[in-house]
Amino acid sequence: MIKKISIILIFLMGLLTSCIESNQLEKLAIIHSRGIDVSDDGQIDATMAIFQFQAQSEEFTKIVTGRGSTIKGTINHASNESDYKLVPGKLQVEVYGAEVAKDGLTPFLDTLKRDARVPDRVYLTVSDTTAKEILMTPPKKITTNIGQYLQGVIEESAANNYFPKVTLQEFGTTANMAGKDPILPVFSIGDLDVPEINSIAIFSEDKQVGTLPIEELELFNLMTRRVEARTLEITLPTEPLRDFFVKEPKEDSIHTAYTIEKGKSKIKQDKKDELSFITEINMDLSLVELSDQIDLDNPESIKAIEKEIEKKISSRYEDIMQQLQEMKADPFGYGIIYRINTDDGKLEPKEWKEIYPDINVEFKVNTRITRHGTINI
Amino acid sequence: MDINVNVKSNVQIKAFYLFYVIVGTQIGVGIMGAPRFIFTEARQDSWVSILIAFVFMSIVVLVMITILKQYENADIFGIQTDVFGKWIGTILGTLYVLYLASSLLSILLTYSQVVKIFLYHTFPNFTLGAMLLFLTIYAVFGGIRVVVGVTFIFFFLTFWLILLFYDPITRMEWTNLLPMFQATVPELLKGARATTYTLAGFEILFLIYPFIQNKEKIKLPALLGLAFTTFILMVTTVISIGYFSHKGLEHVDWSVLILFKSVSLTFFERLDYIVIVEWVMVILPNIVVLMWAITYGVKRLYKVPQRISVYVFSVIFLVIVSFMEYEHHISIITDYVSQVSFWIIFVYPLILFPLVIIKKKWRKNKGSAAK
Repeated sequence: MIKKISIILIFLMGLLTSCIESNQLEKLAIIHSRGIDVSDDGQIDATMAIFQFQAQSEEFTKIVTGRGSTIKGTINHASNESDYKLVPGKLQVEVYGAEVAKDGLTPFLDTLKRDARVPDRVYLTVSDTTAKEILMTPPKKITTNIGQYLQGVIEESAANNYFPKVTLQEFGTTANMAGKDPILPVFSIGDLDVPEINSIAIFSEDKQVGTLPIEELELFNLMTRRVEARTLEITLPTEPLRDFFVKEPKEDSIHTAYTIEKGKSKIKQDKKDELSFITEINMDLSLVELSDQIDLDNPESIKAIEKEIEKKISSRYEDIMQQLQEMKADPFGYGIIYRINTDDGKLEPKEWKEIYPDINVEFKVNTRITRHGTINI
Repeated sequence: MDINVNVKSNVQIKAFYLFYVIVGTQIGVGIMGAPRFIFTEARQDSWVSILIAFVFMSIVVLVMITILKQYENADIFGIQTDVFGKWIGTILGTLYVLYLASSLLSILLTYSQVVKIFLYHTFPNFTLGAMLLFLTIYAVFGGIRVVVGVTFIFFFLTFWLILLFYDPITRMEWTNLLPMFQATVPELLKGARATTYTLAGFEILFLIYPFIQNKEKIKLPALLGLAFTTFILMVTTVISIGYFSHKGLEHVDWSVLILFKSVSLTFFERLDYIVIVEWVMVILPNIVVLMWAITYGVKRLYKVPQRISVYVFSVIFLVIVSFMEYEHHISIITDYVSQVSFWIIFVYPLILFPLVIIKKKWRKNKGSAAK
């Protein structure tokens, strides 16, 4: 009995060797990041930063490009250029050209979702020109390879609570969700000739409908999660604070900076009017910079500053909200609150896009300046 | 055929192991895609559906235990022969065995499909089937104690997978579960019915009962087993609803496997590869228990020795698995198994119950009349 079984098993072993395609590390090129552009004739241009592990070669990273009508086709095309087999198993960053993002990302997300070998943690980003330009940054300007550099920027800014890292899974989930739209970081070539995040791409479902300046990011962060240890810069008018200045102020406005010690927000729907929302934002601030001297020992002065900050931030939020309503994009997720309070809990994205421009949002900002550093003026 | 089974004390098992047998037979390939099917029916209230399924399942199991208690040491085949007579009893028994066989087949097919999509596109079904069936034959040759041992060991070897959910939980959008209690009662019941394929497996109680040593204690481990499976199904469903968007979850096959795709450790980038391979350990208890049940049923019904029927069935399975390629065909088989299992394991015991009681009363009356 045992003999028989072992004979069959040995026989089977012979068959098994050819079952699985072999992937030898030395013969693979691992795609680390990829830029997607669409050319005028409708073909996809992919620029890929790859890793190769070969004993002889000194450079283990390389940029290859491919053209094709599908993304897999571009990979095939690029394989010819590198005489390696390109594999997407560790894709980390995907950059979309500005045109691509405007036309919608769905066609390009398909293969990322369908192919089980692509990881779910790919970071999605948008370029303000073409993706190729970002990936073709001369390697001399940055110490690492471009792919790792982009990944580093995204992860570092996320670790500092600067820009939330948006993965494939999050983008896909939010883009499909009724009542919330995704945002992505926009990379552009900055003054130092290296890519940097310079604005926020606002999406309506999967299409980019506009951008907002990166300075508003803190306000975005406050709306979506708890914010801690972030710096906030606010310019206040001097007029309402006139009584508290140590010397007569020279200018009309005073520049101030704060560290947000704790900040969070809450959205409530008005019980009587389903299209009215109240957003409460609570912040504990610590004053870290003043461009002119104010007598901070006077509790009235702190109160007056708090009040001015509240006014200022509310008006900044109202500005943003107006722009977002014009773009018909809802990154703050008012639609979720709306959906939860409907009778049947159902809301189609299209339906919400109709309603959204008509909603009224009242921003109630409460700030407390709890500390003002080691000096009292 | 004898209604009661004579079981030697050296092949008996303790009632305590019933927990592992039930969990091992219930959790398998079904759970990989279950959230989607439940969600399509009951939307964000899917967890209520699962609780309803649990209550219903517990009632069925208690009824099954009551049926079995009417006899000294019988299994489903003996009971059917007693209630319906020799001919109908054998036919019904054969149907039962065929159901078990088709459910085993659907497991093999689904798993080979998953391996092809997630790991190796060129991996032949034949090889995968052969490897799994070799292990199965090996285990079934060991007899009931080895079969139960397999479920026991693999429970602990796979339990840690649930810890990996820490990552998808942090990525969840909790508002997807709101508003609660929106589904109507029919929707909830439909959702509960969608769990059938995943929760099927406790019918093994009907077959394994004669082998249990301390029969008076079987209620607790059996119900605990059901509760554990329900808990796992509920956790995976709730996480899936939060992790995917509503629109997204309706279109995702094997959502539970995709949950593992975002897990990554510093020393291991793609943990999902391990999870899919590890899933062999989840389905192996399934296959082993079912194979044992099939061959045991054939032995009871037709007196064919288990060591012969296990080979015959393995060859049949291997041939079918090698030729089934289309995903479409596989889902037809799975749907069919899921339909049939609803009637056989959820409804049938409730029909059998009054018949067994009537039969017992009738026999008692006849006995007292004869006196």
